[in-house]
Amino acid sequence: MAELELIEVDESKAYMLPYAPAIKIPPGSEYLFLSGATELQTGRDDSGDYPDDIREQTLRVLQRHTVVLQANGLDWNNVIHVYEFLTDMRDANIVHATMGEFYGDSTWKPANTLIGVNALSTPGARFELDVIAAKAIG
Amino acid sequence: MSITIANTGIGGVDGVAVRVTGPSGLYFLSGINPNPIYHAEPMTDAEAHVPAGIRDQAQLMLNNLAEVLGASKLGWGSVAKIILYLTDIREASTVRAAITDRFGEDWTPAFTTVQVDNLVSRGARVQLDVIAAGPTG
Amino acid sequence: MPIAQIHSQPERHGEFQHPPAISVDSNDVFFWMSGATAIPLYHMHPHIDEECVLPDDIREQARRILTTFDEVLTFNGLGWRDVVKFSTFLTDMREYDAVQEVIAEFFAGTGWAPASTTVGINALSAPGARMEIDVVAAKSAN
Repeated sequence: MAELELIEVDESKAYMLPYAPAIKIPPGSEYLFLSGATELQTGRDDSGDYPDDIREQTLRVLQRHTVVLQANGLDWNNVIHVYEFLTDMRDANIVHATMGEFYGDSTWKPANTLIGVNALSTPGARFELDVIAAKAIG
Repeated sequence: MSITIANTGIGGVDGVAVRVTGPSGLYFLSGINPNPIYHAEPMTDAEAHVPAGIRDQAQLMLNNLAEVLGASKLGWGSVAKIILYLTDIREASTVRAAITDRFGEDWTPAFTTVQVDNLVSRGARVQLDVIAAGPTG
Repeated sequence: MPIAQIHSQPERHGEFQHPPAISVDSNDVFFWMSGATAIPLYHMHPHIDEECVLPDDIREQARRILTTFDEVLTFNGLGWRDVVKFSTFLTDMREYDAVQEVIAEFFAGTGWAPASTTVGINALSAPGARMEIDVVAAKSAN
């Protein structure tokens, strides 16, 4: 059965990238399009505010998206592309390190586009993750 | 094929993930904004001109969206996801309300909303990046 | 069914006018690609300064990015004719026309244009990067 495939143009250099140059999706796959973090009320702490700490925000965003993926029988190995929208590009390294920790030992990396934006939906939000997932079917 | 509101697994947060099961074609739309769909490259002054207010811009933009969906033989219920680009995030709710007024409340695609510096035409305040799903051929 | 351009006003379709939409059949294989700036495809993360020296000239930045995608497309047995969605992110919208000229060079001779979106944004992954492009490509499975 065809699977989602992580495409590296140069395997010997794969270690450099926390994302995939390309993800190949076989015909007839199903898709799950997730709303961004702010739509899903992610990133907030229990009082409803956004934590100041970018690592904390990142973890909460990832946790929320994980719930949605799992509710649909998917996980991060099904994520094919993410947009990372940051309000402060200096946060990029911490965001990537946090995502790397979150993925753990998984060898899967989605395709990724990183963009510095002016603002996100809610004051205090510093990181928005736009996720597309897919599942290969038979 | 089907396009449905996905289970979010998070209480009280419905309608914010969309599942497309197949086999289904996907439709990638060029950026939808208040400018005419068809324009010279670069745009003429007339084509680049947009009204000042967000409501008027949203109407022009939604006219364009309706036109492209129609040409694709799709309806609003086929729109799977939208990235909503705004030059002022405070205008998000106005644009979302304009979308609901135009297309109703029975369906919502997945949305990601961000504030950006600007769009191609000077004065343009809103742009949609749309993926739709439906039969092809 | 081939990947098709959708035109709501077909009589107005010019030579490189990007179409309002592209339809891709369920029988097609998709390739979602990471965004690229004018830094080489493979570079360390976190970034190392020496690898992230970007040309001043926006046309040169565009050429390097499109050359990177050329490499990824070719590696996957694809060409520019297989690009279905093309997103451009610019830090300075005044450079839009120059960027469009370079994009046209890469699509020249294909008779094809993908669905296309352009947005003016704040910042990209490396200082000096003034544009980023990301690409979705598709081809029939047969």
